[in-house]
Amino acid sequence: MGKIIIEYLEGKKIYACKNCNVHLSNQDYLTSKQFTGKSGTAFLFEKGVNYLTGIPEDKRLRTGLHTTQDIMCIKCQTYLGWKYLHAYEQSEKYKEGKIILEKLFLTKIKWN
Amino acid sequence: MQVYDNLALQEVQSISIDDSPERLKEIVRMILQELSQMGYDDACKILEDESQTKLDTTQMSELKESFLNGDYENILQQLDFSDMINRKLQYEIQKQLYLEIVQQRNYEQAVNLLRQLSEFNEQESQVLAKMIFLPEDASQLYVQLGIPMDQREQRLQLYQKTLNLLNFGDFSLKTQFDKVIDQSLEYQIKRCPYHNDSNENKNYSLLIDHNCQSYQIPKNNSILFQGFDDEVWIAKFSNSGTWIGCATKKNSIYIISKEQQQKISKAHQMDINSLVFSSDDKLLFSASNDKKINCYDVQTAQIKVTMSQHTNEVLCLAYFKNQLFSGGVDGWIGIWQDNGKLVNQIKSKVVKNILLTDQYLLLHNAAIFSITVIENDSKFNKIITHMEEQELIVSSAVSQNQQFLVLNVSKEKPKLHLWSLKTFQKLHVFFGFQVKGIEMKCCFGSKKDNYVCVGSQDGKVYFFNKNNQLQQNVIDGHNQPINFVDWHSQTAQLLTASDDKTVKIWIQDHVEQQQIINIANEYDQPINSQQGEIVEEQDDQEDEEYQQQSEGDQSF
Repeated sequence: MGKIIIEYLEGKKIYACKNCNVHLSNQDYLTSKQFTGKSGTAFLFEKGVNYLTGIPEDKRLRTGLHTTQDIMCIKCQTYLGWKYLHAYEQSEKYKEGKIILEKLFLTKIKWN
Repeated sequence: MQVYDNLALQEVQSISIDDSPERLKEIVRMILQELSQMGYDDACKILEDESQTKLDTTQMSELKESFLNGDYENILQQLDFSDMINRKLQYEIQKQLYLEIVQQRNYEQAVNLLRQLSEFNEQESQVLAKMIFLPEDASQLYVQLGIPMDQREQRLQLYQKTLNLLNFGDFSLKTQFDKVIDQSLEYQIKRCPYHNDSNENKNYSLLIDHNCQSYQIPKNNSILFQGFDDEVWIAKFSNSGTWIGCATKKNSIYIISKEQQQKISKAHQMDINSLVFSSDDKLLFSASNDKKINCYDVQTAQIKVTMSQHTNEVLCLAYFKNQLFSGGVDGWIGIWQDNGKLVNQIKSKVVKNILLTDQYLLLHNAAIFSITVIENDSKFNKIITHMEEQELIVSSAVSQNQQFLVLNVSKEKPKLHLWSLKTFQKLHVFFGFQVKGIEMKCCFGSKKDNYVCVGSQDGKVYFFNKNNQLQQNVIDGHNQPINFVDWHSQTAQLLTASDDKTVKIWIQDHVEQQQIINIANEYDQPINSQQGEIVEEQDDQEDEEYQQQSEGDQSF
């Protein structure tokens, strides 16, 4: 398989995969903490790096019907959250293209 | 093993020949032009008669006639001036007119003309003015102006100057031959698959198609090391070429030579990112995602010291003049002594690779798409430039002569970029190999850094000519993707490491029988495993700390 190409993020407060420490997103991209995933609290991010995406599926969430795909860590392939591809409700359109990462699978890396 | 040779050479040889009458006429006219330029007027005339081709077209002949007769009114009528050259040409013609008027001692008209001339070129007008007042110095002044004494020659010179200023698309007297020769040599060099721009073969000639002697690519497999515990991710020659340092997916380090193979199991707790030998080949340093740098004795494979000051993943190491450089995610470059003492710290971004030349310290940034160039003095605080890329730089290498840099920018599409370290400009792009989301190491090859080699997903090694970006050669190296290539310039050997759990050495000479060396596990050393345990314990503690930290984070 070789060594997977991994991107790194610059700056403080980086969110990384708890299992393998691969950088996923940082606080600048954090849009909301008011989300709930399978495991509990989840965060909405503008964008992220180093993730793989699954097959797009239509899911009925609390806020209506959405097309989403699962997000896995590029290195350890652990499930991390999901990506919004399409929101059917007009009020939920802002989520399109953004990603959800569940807090349980994240670790926070700080440095100056 | 299959070798694809001379692909590019065939292309060079398949250029078709145009024998249309227009082409023949053009060739004759160019020869005529060159002959007339050289002063072979008789030969020129004979050729004109025999080939029924005139050197000058009728229009051109008339123009030339006008010049030689000093009929400047006619000239100005014939020439269709463009604005760009109008003034300059007018000046040249007026200058000639002035010289002739002075010669005729018509001083009043000459002064009037001089006034116009001085508007365009004041400096030269001052020299021209002296013509009137110091007629005895005239010959000296002509020399100063670069104008011949004889009037006919003056007029001929003006005619040629005019032709050079005007662009007679069809034909001009300015010799085309030199230009054509230069252009075709340049073209040949560009197409020469083995081109070597070193000083030895500077004597190019158009009489033969230019082709550099093919340089032997190390395409013969001399030694195969097998029995690694997993995919080999790093394989690197020591400075002398005697030792090879390898790291596998299972985080084991192997220090091997023809005679001796040693394995250090679980050298690190997490992925090993870099291996580097000290200048004297006595020590091997390894950097890992477990935030540690380990130092091993090459002879015995015993761990000598562990450096754990980095607070995050250590991504790269470099060794330069008895000092070890390390960089990683925590944003500083450490400079260390062999005994593990931290000597200096430089603030940086997230650094993926450190490259050192006598002049520069090059930092390959992992979070932003650039290479930072810093002056290699003892302070490292003078940033010279940033070499910007459009995409993530996956791997980087600097040439032996320290003049070139190759960057692997294959995250989306497989390609390599060649940069000059003199001008900091991008020179070439190489493509044709395969990469799918895997880090592929690239390097320079051959004694004069003429090649760039890179491993590929299809188990092949691709060679590109640095001078003209032609793909040179391909070796069918391994059954599975190649992760690392390293070229040792002194011994001209190539090292490849692959997912198929083998490492191969390639040489130029023909190999009678491939040597197979099995690396068994019996070289495991008990002392090492003990050391490993100690390291593990420390790690456990750190893991706890990590957990505490993440628990603490719960509050956000």
